[in-house]
Amino acid sequence: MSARTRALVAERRDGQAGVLERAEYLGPVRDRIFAFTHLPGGAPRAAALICSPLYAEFTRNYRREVLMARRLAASGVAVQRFHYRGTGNSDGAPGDITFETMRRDALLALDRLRTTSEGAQVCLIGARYGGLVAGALLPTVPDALVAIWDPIVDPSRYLLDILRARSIVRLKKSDEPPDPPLSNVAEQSGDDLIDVMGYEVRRSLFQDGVSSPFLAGIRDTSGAVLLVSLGADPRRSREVQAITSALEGRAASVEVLTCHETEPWWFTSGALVRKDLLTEPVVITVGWLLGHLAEGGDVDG
Amino acid sequence: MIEDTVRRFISEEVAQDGSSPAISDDYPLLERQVLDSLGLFQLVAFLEAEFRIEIQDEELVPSNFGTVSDIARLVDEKRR
Repeated sequence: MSARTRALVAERRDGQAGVLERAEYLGPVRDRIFAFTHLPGGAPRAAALICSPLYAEFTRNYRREVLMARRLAASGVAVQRFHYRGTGNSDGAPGDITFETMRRDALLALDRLRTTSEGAQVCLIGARYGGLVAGALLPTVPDALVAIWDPIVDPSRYLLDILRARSIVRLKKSDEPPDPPLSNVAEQSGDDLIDVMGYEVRRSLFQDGVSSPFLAGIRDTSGAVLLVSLGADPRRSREVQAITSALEGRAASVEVLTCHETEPWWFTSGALVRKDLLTEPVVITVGWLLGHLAEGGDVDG
Repeated sequence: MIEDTVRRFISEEVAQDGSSPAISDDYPLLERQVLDSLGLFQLVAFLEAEFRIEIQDEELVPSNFGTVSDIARLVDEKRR
């Protein structure tokens, strides 16, 4: 390993949990993605890839992902986290992000995870838009266990929800004039950049074709699926219902669990400091994954 | 009554800190900060699901969400 390569890796060992955390850059120079690996002390019993959401949701979910990675690693599961190019510490500009670049970044991270986890059972965990990315990896790992937080089925509806959040923020500042009509923004064609609450967003990320690999991927795979709804919001419930309907008749189980607290995602109201909101999805998901891994061990063993 | 349904949802589901006063039809929901941004988002989703209406973004203005009466009027107009 050259000095230049070594300089791109930083490691920290948690002696109490026996977990090694490694931060590094993956991929070619000037096109690198930033990645974290959480490795348990012994041989991993499974390998989990976390596909983050985007924009404000990336920020809202970040701490949860760290906590989940650490809990899983302490339970013997290797975990890979990463930043899509154009986000976080990775190379690239926000406007460069497409669904295909996100899928490629996730594949790069998955490849890294498999290298470090010696062929262990793969688990894919995705939040919001990251769920679509995780679903697009399923042809590569058709037996993966899958956990999705607040899944998105209809990307154009999702964009309208984000735009609605913008309108509501304006509404709260009642001295500001309302936004111009936005209802047709998601329906326009083309792949231009639009400004959504300060984020430069590529319109193609929210077109219908993006979701098709997700549903097809989940339908065709053999692993169990967990859908976690972060609160009983009617819109999110509809997305979950759409997925469960699409997966009817599937051989492997599809389980839906709902958190008590509602995740505000696009609102920075400070609600994340509520402990339950931070940890409940983590506890649910880690419990579900470890339970399924134990069941798999019983069947195989 | 639409007003009662709206009032119940606000009191039980979205009022901040659970310490909202008895909400009369003309109590200023935005001015008195009964509804925060997430609460408004949830309220709009609830209204759409409960009354089978679609609220356009340009309708998200204080004159439609300032009081329970304002909200009830908006719902009533959308249902016609």
